[in-house]
Amino acid sequence: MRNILQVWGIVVGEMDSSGYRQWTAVPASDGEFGNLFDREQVAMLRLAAVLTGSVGDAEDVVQDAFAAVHQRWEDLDRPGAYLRTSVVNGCRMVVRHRGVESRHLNGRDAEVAVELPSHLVELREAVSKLDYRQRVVVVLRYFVDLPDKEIAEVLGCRPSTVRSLAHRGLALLRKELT
Amino acid sequence: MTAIEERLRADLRELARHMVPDQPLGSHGSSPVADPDDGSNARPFDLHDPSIQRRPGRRVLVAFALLVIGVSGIGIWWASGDDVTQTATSAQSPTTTAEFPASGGEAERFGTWAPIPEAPIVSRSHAVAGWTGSEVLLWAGSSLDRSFAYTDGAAYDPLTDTWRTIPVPGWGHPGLVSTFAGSRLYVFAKGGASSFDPSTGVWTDLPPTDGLVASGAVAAVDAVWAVGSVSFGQDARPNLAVARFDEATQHWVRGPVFEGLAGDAPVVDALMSLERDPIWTGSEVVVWGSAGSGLAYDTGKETWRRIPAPVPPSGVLVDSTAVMTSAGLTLIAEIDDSGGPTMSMVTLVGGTWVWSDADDLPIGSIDRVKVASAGDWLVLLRPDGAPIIVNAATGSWSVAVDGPLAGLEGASAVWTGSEMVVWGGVATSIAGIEDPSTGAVWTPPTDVIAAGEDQAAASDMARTGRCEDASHVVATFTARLPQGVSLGVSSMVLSRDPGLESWYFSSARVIGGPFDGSTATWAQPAFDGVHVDAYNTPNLAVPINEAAGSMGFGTNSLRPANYGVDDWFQLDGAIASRDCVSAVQPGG
Repeated sequence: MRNILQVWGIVVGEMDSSGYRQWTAVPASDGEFGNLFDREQVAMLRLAAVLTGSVGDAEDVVQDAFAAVHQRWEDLDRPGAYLRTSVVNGCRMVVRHRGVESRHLNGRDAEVAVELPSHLVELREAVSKLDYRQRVVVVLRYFVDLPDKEIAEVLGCRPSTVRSLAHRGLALLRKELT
Repeated sequence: MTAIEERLRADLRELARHMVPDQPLGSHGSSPVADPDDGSNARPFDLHDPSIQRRPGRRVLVAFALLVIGVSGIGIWWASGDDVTQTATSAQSPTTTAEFPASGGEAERFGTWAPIPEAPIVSRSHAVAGWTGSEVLLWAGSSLDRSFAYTDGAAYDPLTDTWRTIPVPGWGHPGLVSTFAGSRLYVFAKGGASSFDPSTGVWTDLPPTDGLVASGAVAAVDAVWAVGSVSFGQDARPNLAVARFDEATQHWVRGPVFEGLAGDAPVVDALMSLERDPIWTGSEVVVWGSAGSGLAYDTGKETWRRIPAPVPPSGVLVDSTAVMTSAGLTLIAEIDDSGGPTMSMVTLVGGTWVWSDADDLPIGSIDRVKVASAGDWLVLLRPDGAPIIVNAATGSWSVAVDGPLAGLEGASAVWTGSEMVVWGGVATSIAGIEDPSTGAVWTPPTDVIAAGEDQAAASDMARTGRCEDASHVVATFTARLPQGVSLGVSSMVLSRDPGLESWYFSSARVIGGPFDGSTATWAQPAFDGVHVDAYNTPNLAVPINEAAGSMGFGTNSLRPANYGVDDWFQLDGAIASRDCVSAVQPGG
């Protein structure tokens, strides 16, 4: 069975049984999805970049997230929220995979570093030391300005857990960002 | 807002703009910048642009790396910045200390604490508490010495993190004995009882308890049992008895009186004085005495029996309190030997007491400690220090120092199936409580599938089982749902597909019904169904036998529809075992 994926009005490919995706480009149209894409793509890119610390990985994650949203478009009541959760989950997988990659590839395939002012380098390194769930809470709270209840929905946990994660995350950042 | 929060707000946005400046995804053009503040009119990415195609090359490298790991069996796994690699351990060395909330490795091993909002009722001791499936109900309570009783209550919803008050019954008696069963809170006062329906807010008076003055109550799978005393004659010593509430006739039916009173007076006295709560094991109502022995009433056979006291490896058992864990009836026991008193833990497994390695728990005296069970975990609230979290399976424990619940006596604790809500109590011998009315919630470590966790969490679970070189992982865990219904997944099989670099549920055997704590088995399961080959499906319908009706199963959710429960339940349970296998049978 062919599994066709469409992204923003474009059939972008199919996924065979092995999970490998062969991309093709076919024009199509999908206005609502396009509006979402227009509105959210850079915001999602930035969210993913801050969470993963990598622009390249962020592009991969966001592209996959938009594809997932489009595939489920008819079933989604809140596609924006689904998109954001997909990005957060995608970033988690990237961070985990990177742990294995870094151990076994000795840093090969590392992307070119972005030139950053020293205080932002310090911030990026401090954020990378957070446990991933703490990182998500800190970024969604202070970058995206999401209320704890919505962060809890993204993480699939209680609001009280969000507060606990924020408490621990901020404590660590205070030590790191002296 | 603190300085660190102000810096994060400013610098995270600046960092994001530096990392993703002016071009949207893959366009490399000159589209305007979008961010959470200003919205965006950025252009969509060009799917013809080869720079945004997926990167099979990188995936191949990752797959190769994973293959290397799988073949070599190296115990390394995905993790974030502060990588924590867990191992399947036997008994851990005790005496670890965590900060509040637990952080780092302690959080991984012993869970986390978080405050909850202030309750709309004043803090108190001995409030009766229950979990309705969606709310923690707190009712009545008293001063620590029980000289003054309260006549109000409140309900806390963990999902919305909000409180509400609950109506007060017309008769206004506090009722310090209660249990939550089915969908109602049963409250006992002297020779009478009432029930409260939290969904309607209506209190209903029930008939007298057939001459029994309840000192405790338990919710069995199919009935509410009151435990207490009956007196025959004005000067006669009270006799221990039980009474079952018959839903069909709406009357209490008293069971046989326990007749071997002479040698068991301490047990009975402990119950009568409300020092010890009765315990439901799945087949028996257990009344435990401080001296170290207990009495059990088999509700099926309608007979009483004695449970002998455990004999410690050395010294003498001088005091104990009992609680049900996933392993069975468990005691926190004070032992006096030549080296002085020590606190240990012992569990009744298959009729034999098995001592754990959990000595020496830092408890001064057991009689003022509240022991709350969360399956494989125990939360010990004590008047002379911070709460202690005990892993009942391994014997390891941790003290959450500097917590708002330090130095608390008489608090109420309710296990919701995924977290422990602790509220109330009064500060006693040490300083530390800022405001007990705020309470706190304890969330178990990630070893327990948390509410809302997705398939990735299950994968983590498999990974922590060190099964890198196996094709399947069988994770067994148990769960207890509210309303007195025991329900669980007897085995859940996670399979790994190296080609997809992912883990997925391949089958799950779902059973439920009375859980026999004495043998740690599911007795006469009401449900018994198998779902096979649930490949990467986020929500499944699990076929089960017709008598049980249908059951929903999310990634980790169950719906015992035949119990009339409206909401989906998270299936939260403590993992009892993990086995790495090369092949599995359907249903595990």
